[in-house]
Amino acid sequence: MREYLTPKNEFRTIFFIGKGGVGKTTSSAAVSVSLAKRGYKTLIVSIDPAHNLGDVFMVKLNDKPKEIIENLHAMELDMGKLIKSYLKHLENNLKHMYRYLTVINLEKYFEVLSFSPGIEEYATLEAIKEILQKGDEWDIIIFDTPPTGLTLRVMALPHIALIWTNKLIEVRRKILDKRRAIENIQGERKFVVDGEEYKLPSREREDPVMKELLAYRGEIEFVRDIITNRDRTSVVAVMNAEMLPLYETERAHESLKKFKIPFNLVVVNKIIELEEEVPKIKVRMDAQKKVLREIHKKFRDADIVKVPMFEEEPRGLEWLERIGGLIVGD
Amino acid sequence: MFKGVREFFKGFFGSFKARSTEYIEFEERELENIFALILMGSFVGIPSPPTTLVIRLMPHMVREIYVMQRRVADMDDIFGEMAGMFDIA
Repeated sequence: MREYLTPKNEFRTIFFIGKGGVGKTTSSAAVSVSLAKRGYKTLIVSIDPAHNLGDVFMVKLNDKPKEIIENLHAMELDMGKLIKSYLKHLENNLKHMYRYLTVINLEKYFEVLSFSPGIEEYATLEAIKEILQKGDEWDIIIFDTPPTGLTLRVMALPHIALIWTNKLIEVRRKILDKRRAIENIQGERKFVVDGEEYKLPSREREDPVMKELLAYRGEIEFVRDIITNRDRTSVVAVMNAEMLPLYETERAHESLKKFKIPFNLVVVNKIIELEEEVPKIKVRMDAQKKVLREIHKKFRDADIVKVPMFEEEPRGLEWLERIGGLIVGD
Repeated sequence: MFKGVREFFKGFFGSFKARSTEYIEFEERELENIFALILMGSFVGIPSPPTTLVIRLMPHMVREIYVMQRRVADMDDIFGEMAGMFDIA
């Protein structure tokens, strides 16, 4: 049994990444079934906007954990809904605060925001954060992610978000310094707008902006600390024995290394194994063998699991358990 | 009579105090303006901080956005403001 797929002290997080269509969802579902059968309380979450986790389990899923078998719960997150409800809530909140602002058309601003670059990544990160915050309910949390590109950007986000937040905290500190300096001479200052009076906060403890910044930094550091911790997180790359998925996995491997996110396992799906000789298929098999040799060369620091191509599409719990057994190991 | 003198001194020192922080207040406003501008970056196409962070800060930014708006309104008279501050008539 692979120890980087099981919890050590605290709950274990496993991310399945890979190019579209290589079998991420099936592999992750298989692993989740296998781990649940071994007695680990497992949650599998699909954060891919094009959901098909429910199709693999052959049940309808939504954004609440639903029991599939004993010890196994599954859910699908609806990103679009998440973003919309978030913005709506905020719009009402802001309309109240900013009545005096007629120049900035808030509706337009929100239209821009909901299409602003990166909103999907941030919403995904937000969703991952919320699940991790409640992670203690589980032994193992498995994320079935969108195709590599988006996932890598999401995994890079904590790093980038921290740079931004630290810079903003710096600027905010300067503002508060100036305010304190003025306050020392003028006394407490009031800021009047639209007939309403606000006290100008000058100390970190009483400044709501600073408080938000520090809270946000805390949350992001929490996520970063989990996903960069070898004892708590593993990334499993899923691919086919073809050159394009190989290149993509290699790139993913590189960027994960850069952000210090542990990469442990490569699952190679749909490997053709045939007893008899069929010339046309033999060409394919030779090509696959060549790619497999490459994979062994490229990912020396990771385990490699080969999953054969089956006669039928592997759906349903029995199939999943069988494949899961292959991946998790005995 | 005393009351008059007291009022006079209060006014005198008040204006003295106001003048003494004029530069710091200008700096403060500049920083507040920049802070709001950074958060509104996606509006004008400059890279902006994490959207979720922006969204969470917005409700507390009444003052900064007010300052930013004033700054935009006074944009055509930046030199006037500078001249005023350095007492150039």
